[in-house]
Amino acid sequence: MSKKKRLKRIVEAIAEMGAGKFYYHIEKSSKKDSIDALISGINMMAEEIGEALLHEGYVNSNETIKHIVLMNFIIDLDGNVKAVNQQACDILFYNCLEIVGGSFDNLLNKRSTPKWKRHWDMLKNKKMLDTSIALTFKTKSGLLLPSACYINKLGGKKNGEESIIVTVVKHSKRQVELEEYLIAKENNKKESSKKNNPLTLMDNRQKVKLSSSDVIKIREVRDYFMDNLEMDFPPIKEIALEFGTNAFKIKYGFKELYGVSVFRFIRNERLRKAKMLVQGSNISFKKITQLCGFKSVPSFSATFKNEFGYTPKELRRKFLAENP
Amino acid sequence: MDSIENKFALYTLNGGLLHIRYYKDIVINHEAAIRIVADRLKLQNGIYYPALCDIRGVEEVDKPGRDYLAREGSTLLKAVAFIVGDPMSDILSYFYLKTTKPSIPTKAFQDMDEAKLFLEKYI
Repeated sequence: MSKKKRLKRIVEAIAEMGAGKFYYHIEKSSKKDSIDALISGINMMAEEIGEALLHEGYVNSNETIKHIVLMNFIIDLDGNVKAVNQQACDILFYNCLEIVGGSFDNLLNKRSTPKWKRHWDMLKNKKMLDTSIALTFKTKSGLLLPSACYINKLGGKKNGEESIIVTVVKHSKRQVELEEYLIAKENNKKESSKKNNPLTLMDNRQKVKLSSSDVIKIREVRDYFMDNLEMDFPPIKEIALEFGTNAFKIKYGFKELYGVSVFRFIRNERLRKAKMLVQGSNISFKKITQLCGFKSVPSFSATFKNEFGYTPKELRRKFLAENP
Repeated sequence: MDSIENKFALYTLNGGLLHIRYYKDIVINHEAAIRIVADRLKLQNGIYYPALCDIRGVEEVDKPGRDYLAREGSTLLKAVAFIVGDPMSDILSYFYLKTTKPSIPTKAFQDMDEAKLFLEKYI
């Protein structure tokens, strides 16, 4: 690809971002030069902004509607697109007639094609009925769209009448990190269901508005917790004062931004760190207890087992057995 | 054990420093990031080290990979010196420093000796 064309792609992507669409990626060449590096920087920035938009969008939900972008394809047993929704055509910059009748893998980036082909073979052999894979689409103008694709095989009345449906959604970080999501769900069922359904974000209840400087402070407090998990933390009131805000904003803000109470957040992060050290190192459990801020080895062990279903000893043994 | 390797990098303990050298054309996703940290911790065996990290082979780190390394990438490390020098590694280290604000001293160097000098006070 010529330099002119590469720069054109960069400008296109930047224009899309200016229009609020941060889910496009720019394709790199194999030159590994400064332009490729710049492209990487822009792609990474788009990911961060896209992520930040989701959080900010939730915090100020009385002003912003959260869109979950959706593409749907119905594919026949030959791998050709039978039907597609309008939004998919818009996102990929194709006319619907250009997509329908063509092979599904024409819409994919070259790197994703082998992955699709592998899954396609498995689908046709009925080895799987429901699955999900990460595929990257390529728009008509050459922009990339990394997507989580949910693939379902739909049965028909007779053999040969089956269809494959491919659904693409853009989801928030919380849903990708399954563990965190499950933990949050246990204790904040109302909050999670609200987060999953964008329509209910526009509810009539008066929400406290957090300013962007509030959000910055809350993130600073979060960083403080993350960097000092071995500590016995002072009361939130004191911490809030030190960071120049108040306890209510910290408690409320944590629930809004991270979906859990401050207490639960700290507990989850301690357990996450502990799990990593248990699985990934030979450090004594006594040392891990200290490093993660637990009161004693027995209480650490009990909390650990409660959370993960195994004691630290059992999990370490299991991990080592499965990962020699 | 003073050395370990996986399909992403070679890790060596030498002179009080942990040397990590990524192989060519490495793409780091969430799964890779987990492996990268786990093997490093295995080698370190509970001891804190300063790390000399040659990232000139890394081609791409996706968002889940970046997030994992931002959270867990500094565990058991006293300080990190990145070795950079080509456009890609330059931008990766710069972006990492700006977005994750690591809690341990972290700096990028084009020169190996300068990097080692920086890490010396943490041995």
